[in-house]
Amino acid sequence: MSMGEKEEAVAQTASSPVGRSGGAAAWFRGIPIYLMILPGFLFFVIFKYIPMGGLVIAFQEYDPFLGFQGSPWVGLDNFHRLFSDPDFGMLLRNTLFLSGLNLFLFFPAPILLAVLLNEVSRSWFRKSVQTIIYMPHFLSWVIVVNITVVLFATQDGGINNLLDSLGYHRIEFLTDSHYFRALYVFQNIWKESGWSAIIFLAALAGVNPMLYEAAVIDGASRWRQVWHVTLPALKSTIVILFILRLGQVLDLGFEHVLLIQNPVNLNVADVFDTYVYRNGVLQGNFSYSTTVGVFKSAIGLVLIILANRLAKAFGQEGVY
Amino acid sequence: MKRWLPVSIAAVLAMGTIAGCGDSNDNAAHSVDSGSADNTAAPSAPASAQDDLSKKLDIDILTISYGGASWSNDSAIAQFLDKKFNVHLNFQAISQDNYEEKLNVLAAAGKFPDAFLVQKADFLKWRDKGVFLDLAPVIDQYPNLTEYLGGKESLQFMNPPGKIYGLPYYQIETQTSFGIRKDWLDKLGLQLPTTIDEFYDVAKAFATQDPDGDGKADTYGFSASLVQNKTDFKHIDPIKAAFGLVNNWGVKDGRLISWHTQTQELKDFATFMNKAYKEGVLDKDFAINKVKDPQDKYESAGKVGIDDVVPNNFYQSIVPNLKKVDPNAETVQLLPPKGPTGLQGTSTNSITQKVVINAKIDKEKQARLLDMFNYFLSDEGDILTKNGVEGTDYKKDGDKYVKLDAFDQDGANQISTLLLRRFDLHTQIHLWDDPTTVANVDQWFKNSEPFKWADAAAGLESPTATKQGTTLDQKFMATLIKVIMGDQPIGDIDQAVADWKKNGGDQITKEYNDAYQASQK
Amino acid sequence: MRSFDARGRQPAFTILTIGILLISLLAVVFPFLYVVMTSFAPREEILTRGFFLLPHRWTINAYGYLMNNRQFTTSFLNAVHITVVGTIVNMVLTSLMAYGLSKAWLKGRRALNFMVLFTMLFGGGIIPTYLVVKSLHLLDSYWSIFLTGAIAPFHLIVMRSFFQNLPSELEEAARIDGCGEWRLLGRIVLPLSMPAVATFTLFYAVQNWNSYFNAVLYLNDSDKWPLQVFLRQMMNEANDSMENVSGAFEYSPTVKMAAIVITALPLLAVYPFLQKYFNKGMLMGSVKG
Repeated sequence: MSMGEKEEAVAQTASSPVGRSGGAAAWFRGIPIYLMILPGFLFFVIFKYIPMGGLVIAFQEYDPFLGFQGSPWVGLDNFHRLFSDPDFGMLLRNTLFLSGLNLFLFFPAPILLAVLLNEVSRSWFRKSVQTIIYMPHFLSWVIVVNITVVLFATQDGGINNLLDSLGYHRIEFLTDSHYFRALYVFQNIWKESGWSAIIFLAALAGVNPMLYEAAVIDGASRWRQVWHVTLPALKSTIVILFILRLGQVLDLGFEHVLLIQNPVNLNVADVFDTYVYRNGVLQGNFSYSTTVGVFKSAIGLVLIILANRLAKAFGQEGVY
Repeated sequence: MKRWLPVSIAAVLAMGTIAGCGDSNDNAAHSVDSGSADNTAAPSAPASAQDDLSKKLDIDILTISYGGASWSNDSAIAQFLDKKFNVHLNFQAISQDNYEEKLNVLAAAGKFPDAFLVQKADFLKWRDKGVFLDLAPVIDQYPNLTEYLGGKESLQFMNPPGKIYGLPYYQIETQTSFGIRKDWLDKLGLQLPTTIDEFYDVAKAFATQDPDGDGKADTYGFSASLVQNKTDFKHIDPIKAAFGLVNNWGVKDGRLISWHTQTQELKDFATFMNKAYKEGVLDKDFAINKVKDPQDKYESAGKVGIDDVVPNNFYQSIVPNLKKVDPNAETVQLLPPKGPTGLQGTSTNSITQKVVINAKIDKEKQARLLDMFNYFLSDEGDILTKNGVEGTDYKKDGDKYVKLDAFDQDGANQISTLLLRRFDLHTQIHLWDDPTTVANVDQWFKNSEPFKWADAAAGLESPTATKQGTTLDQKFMATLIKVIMGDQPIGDIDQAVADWKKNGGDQITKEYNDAYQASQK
Repeated sequence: MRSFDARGRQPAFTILTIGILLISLLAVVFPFLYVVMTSFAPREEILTRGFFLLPHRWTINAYGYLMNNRQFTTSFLNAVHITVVGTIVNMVLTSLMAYGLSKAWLKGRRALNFMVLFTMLFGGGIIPTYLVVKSLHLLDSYWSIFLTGAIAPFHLIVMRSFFQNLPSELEEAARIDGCGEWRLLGRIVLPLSMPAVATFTLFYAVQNWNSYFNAVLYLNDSDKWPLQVFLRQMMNEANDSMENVSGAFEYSPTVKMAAIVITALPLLAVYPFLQKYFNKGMLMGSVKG
């Protein structure tokens, strides 16, 4: 414990350097830094903030032919339409449910993976596991969903054929809405855990081995070493990723959800992302789909701001 | 790092974006007023006589890709067209799921390609905005356009009187029909079913009497899927038709009605399907099948007895593949079964996609495009666009033709498959195809012909259907499918019909009927 | 590589660790192997056998077919081009900005950080971005792809936090030596942050390798399209009512699977080389030295 805290304390003092207050001097000292930031700054202005003007269409009935200036203004009508849509409650519930599952099951998976890998002493084993487990990231959702169908389909799926040959009933994994949420999260974990673990492994690469040595001398067990050395080393990365994840609490990966949606599970599988797709792409309501996007982002912003405050209150760096 | 450069660009841009956009809108607005006047004033402008091909033109063509190769300017056909028309063809084919997005972005930027494919909803929405070149004044100078695209009536379809804003993209109307395992029928001593009841009995026998004789209950009667947007069924049109459902929209007492409102017919259909599902006659995975799955299951697994077949595919892929799985397999065409009241109908496509020419490009380019289109439809062009270039894509071997590798690699038939082709049942027949196969394919089409089951609203517009139709239809399907799967009672169909009508269906019906009445005048 | 046996042997702990990892390994290996093996199996096996791990009959025709396919090779090279140049642009811009924003004393830092964060949430959408690209005359150039995706806010924020976690003694020591910010970044911070640099190079490379929609949107010349466009057109799962209708050429399932495998291969192959940057104790050594 002592070691972890010590390092953190060092990090804390690090951010309060010489000459913090001196107004003009600080600006002057910052010049090379501002120059470094400038290209990125311009990128954000040109390719992010200028196009952001396009968000005005949330308050319009946008028609590509009339353009941003020519399209008629409708005030808050689109927002009103969203909140009064009889499906709004269902969409919010479904989205939050899946998002919650993601936060509690999918988010910790790569952390667990990285910690476990860190505990493996045999280098060849660690490296092989690491390499293999990150491969599914390179399969598109279409393929992952295809594999799922090959395995789980009712009529001819591998698992149901097995159940059948053993004398059990076939289970409608894909067409029974009860399995939908589990399926969604499991696919996420399967496809992305190994990949997401990379960030945590990189964070662990920076751990000073002397911390472990000191812990061993203190007589700490392996469990305690994980708790007092490994996890503290990951803390700031975890906090930052968690806050960012909260900002996307209403984003579930539209392609993935759309691919596993079917009329039978629609009552649990219809989420804001697919709603946006249906309205924006299939039905050409640009303004309305933008409105839904703005709503999603606004919720994310509020959550991020709250979480960031909380993190700072606990002495963490936060995302801004 | 040139840091100052982006700064100035950004400054210019801040105004430029908005201004540039407004600019193009002005153009659009102008051409709505003056576009037609321009064209009638100079009817001979885009005439081939005036374009001597002396200038090399870059021509952008945008269309939807359906798999396969993408265009390359090194391909033999591209070089052939370059030589013949002095053009650099930039032929882009992109997947359907991104096509709409790209078109809308181009619309917003005020810069459409020189020629492109548009689907029904966009065509109707943009038709009167001066975007598409009106071909009516010049069409007579291009005899192949009037001769091989279904004639004047077909050219006029979906256009206001006296205007022709696009060329129809042809699809075979009665493209698919049921095929059935003849060897299974024989083995079980059954006849070809002619009524929907017989159809059911045969399908059930396929599921329960072990037609493949392997001692396992692993066969089933028929499969199905949903269309991509999950707004309708796919591959079971003859069954729907037998129960009196209309193909999307039908005419009853002089008015258009939607299949979503045919409560009694829906219940009969759902009862039939529910029984099939329960008794293992219907593929348990029909609700999650992709469009192509039923065919894959039929041809490769040998476990399905009845399939919705595209005749060309049937001879080129299904027969050879199925033979590998089961050498005794034999498939024959099954005509649409008669429903309880004697109704029959086969799956029927509507020809609603159009190839349009950009109204805002130079006259010279427009003329060059029309020349090319006219050529594509000529006898020589027809052979070229379907088969590629002789010597590279295929060769003559004695009195037969042989396909070469380059044909598939270059996708030498892309112009025909993705852009423009004759109204001709042989759209997918190549020089090298076996004549008996061709005759067989023709026979399938001919047999289906009397059972056309047309969508009465095919060329009509309903803004509400465009804006809300997908959502409405998906919800409707959710109930219908749950009824079929036994998760909901049959009576719930009443509620689904009422919801569909209340949430926009009534409005859609009204709009289609108004459009229908107007078109009947 | 430092051995961790020194950290004490605890059989229960070790068994649990290895056990969980082995289970995850198997859960990944089997489905993944299925994808790889279907690329070596003839068409009828894929469709008749359902799930399998070894083909009865092996064939490498699919790979030969792809290698001889000009569109495949062209788009493969395009993807390599986009990935190499794009990733360099990404890493230069991202590390400069991340380093700058990691300075706790920098005036205006919080506002800049918030500005970055904000773009993770709110975006103008496809149309306005397209108009910007168009008015900069970037259409039809790969720079449309490089620049519109030059910095991923997520990567920037995480990289910044990695820089912040470096011991501050480094900076102080360097400053006392009279080292400027540029040299500090180039000579000390980046070399010490190799795990992070390797990670984000990989992340960006994969992102560039997978670029698809921007290419279709901004590049009007199909000869410039990258591999993913080819792959998507080939998979073509999304097409619906027109399927089979147009008579367009279709690839066999074996070729499709082979294309998936080849597309994934280059970046799968890169990973083991980057793994060495995840070695422990790197930082320690440098501080000592």
